[in-house]
Amino acid sequence: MCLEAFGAKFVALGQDQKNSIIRTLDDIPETNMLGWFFRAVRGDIFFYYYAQPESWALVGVTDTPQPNGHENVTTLWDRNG
Amino acid sequence: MNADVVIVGSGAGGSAAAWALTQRGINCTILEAGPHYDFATDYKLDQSNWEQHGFPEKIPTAGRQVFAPMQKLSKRWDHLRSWNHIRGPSNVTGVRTARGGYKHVVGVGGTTLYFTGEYHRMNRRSMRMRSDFGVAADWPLTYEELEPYYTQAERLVGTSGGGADHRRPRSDGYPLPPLPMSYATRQLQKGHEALGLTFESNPLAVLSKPFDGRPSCNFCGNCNRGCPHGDKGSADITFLWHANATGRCRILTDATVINLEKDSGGRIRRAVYARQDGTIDAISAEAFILAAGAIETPRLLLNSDVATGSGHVGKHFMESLVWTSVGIHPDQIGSHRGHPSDGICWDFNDPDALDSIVGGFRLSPGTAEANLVGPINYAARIVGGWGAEHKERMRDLFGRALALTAFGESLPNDKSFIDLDPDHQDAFGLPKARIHSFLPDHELERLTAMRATVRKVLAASQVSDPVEEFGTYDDFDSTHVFGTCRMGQDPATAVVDPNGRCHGSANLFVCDASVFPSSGGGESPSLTIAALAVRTVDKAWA
Repeated sequence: MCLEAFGAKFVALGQDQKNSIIRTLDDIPETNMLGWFFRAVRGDIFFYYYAQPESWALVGVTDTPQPNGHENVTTLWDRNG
Repeated sequence: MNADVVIVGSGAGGSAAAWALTQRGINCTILEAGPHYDFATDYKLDQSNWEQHGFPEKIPTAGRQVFAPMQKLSKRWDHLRSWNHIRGPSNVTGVRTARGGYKHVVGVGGTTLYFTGEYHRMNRRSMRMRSDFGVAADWPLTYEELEPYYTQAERLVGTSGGGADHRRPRSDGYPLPPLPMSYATRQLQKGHEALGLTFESNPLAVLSKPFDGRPSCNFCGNCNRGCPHGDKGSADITFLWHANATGRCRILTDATVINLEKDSGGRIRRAVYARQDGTIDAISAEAFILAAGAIETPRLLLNSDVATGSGHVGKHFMESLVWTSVGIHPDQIGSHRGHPSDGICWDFNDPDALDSIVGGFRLSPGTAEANLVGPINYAARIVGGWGAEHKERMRDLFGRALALTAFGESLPNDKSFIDLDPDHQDAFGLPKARIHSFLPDHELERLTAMRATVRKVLAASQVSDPVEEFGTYDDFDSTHVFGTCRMGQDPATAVVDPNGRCHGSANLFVCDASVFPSSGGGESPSLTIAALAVRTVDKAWA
């Protein structure tokens, strides 16, 4: 797909070209094998990436659910607190 | 080996029976097919990969039962199909699936290890479904007869609550005050109130204050993954802990009962049990209590050809009828925090709450039980996409998913039952239980009403149009199962008598949800199972 569109492999593409390829994959329905494969790989990436505590700062989470649980659950969430 | 009483299963019913027996000075032995779980070490919520795991099953439960072919799906009910805005439809076939399966735990404490701690009394009107509504069967005892046992069980586990619902009157207040409602749940409360509905604290076997040597809940939101904190009143750290403290309760793990031997008079002489290494043993007792749940208890009776005279063992199977819708709230409500089920609406719980549809339902928060409490599920089910845009949306949306769930009445029908599968055996060569499940139109009409109400309340709670919805129309997914050893006066139509004693077998009792003549309008059954078990012991060993 990359060779057809841009004449180079994915790793050699610029960011806009990479985005274009990924957008094309994302638009393929899951009933198509390529669409299914893209979603399966993306699901695996999410599964392992967000199991790393280093990734949690993105969403404002600082700790595992236990042993400390959550404080101030009755108030609006202060994601920086 | 001998005991005064042998109990098969250590979940909500078996544990409560053991406690009640030991309080009377009676020795009991529990035969539990699974292992012990150590609440302090077996659960993974303090590990970085906590979200990759559900409840850490030591004995896998998938495949322990078999499903008969499921019903075809109809265009008429397409609105009840499960879907996600990223993944699309959950079931792309034309036939109902059983991917959700029968959710249960095999181990000491049973499925209470997995539950969120909802501790509900039955709606007293739901106990007269035949007399008042012409469906299911009446309970052969009144709410008032059961009430003192509800109170005993609530006190033992330390139940938190605060509502004053007239459908389930109380002789005493709750032992503990209600858990504080999370900010996210209060948004649902506002939505209910905007529609003129009542939304109150949910009665929970979860501690709002330290009690009985256990700490109060710290609101991690993950009861279904197993509570490592010790505040959730699972059977292992409540009823069984107190039963063990008497020195009169012995628990044998890895002991799967494979046969009940009876004498010519129909009394049970011995329970034969097998261990995973293949060894077989047997235990004699004066009495036997079955508490293996509404699927494995009838299976044991059928495999042993015990109490089968009425032809009703395995019949009248009732399952979980559930609908959940998930949307996005406009504010940073932090919906991953708080107890998963800290509020409830009983307004539709009466059997005649819906026009021309018999059977009620209740509403409660569903975000945590929908497993939307961590970034993995947000990424896969809420956000999707990729690259910088994905990350920006993760930053924006995390903690804003808000789900509402409706649990409904399940009425028995002739096509829903448990039997023995002639083609599939367990490791000991015994036929597995086969689950026949069918949802007739009146169940799907109720599910349709549940869906409409959930959507309406979410909209009134400022939540967006749904981004995910799932229900039990296109996928069998049941934690609460009932009815397969119905309780009743008449031996011709019931398996056990009003006190839980098997018709035709004087020393055999059933103490689990298989005795329920009706399911209730969405109540979680653990408390009623425990109360019935305590009552059965009280009546038989008065």
